[in-house]
Amino acid sequence: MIRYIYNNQKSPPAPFVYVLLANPDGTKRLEQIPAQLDTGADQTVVPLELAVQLELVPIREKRVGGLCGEISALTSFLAQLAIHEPPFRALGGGSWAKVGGEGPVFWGFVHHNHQDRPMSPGGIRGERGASRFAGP
Amino acid sequence: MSEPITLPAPKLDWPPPENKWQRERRAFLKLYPQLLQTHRGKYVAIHEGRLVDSGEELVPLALRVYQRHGYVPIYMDLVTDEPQPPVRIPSPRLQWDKPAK
Repeated sequence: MIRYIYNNQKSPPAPFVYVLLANPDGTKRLEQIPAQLDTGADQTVVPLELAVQLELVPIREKRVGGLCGEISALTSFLAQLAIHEPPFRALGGGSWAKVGGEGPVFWGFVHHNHQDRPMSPGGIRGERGASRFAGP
Repeated sequence: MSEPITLPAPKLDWPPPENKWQRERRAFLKLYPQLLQTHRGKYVAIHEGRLVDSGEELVPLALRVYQRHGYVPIYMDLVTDEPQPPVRIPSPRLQWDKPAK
């Protein structure tokens, strides 16, 4: 079992884990992305920069409500997210390979935010269907 | 004081040209009344202006259409006329994240 110490670069200290984020077919991926756990969130939010780097294509827009109830629209993408144990495994061959190998892999939706915020993989349980794609 | 010179308004490239995903979304909205009759409560995928697939769940639908049509912008959404609750992302850090000093 992997345990992380709370990151005290944040005030107050916050729970972060390393994640792997990949496009749907796993041909583009970003490893060891520090991601802040947000257990109250329905879905995962990633900085726009990561979505751009992975060349994710949009699916739709969803209305998102923040802490004080303000509503904004964010773009949804399909991506693979893995919270897993280092060292990271190489991707398997073939199309639509799942990333990772040891740890859980999730298919799910991510939204991007426009600001320079940390990735926040809170809502893995998220949208209909997303929670059923735990693997391997 | 010299007389003011009135110039024509600068030309803008406006509205900006739509990208493929925006065109597909517009096609979805155009098809929406018909989809409500035939695909109410289902997720649909719109590619090149037409319905290419539908399903009960969005992730399997997305995987299918990307397999079949390639990883290109394809609009997918739920066909419903009921208001959908917003996704909750209530973390205060998303709103007011401040680096520690």
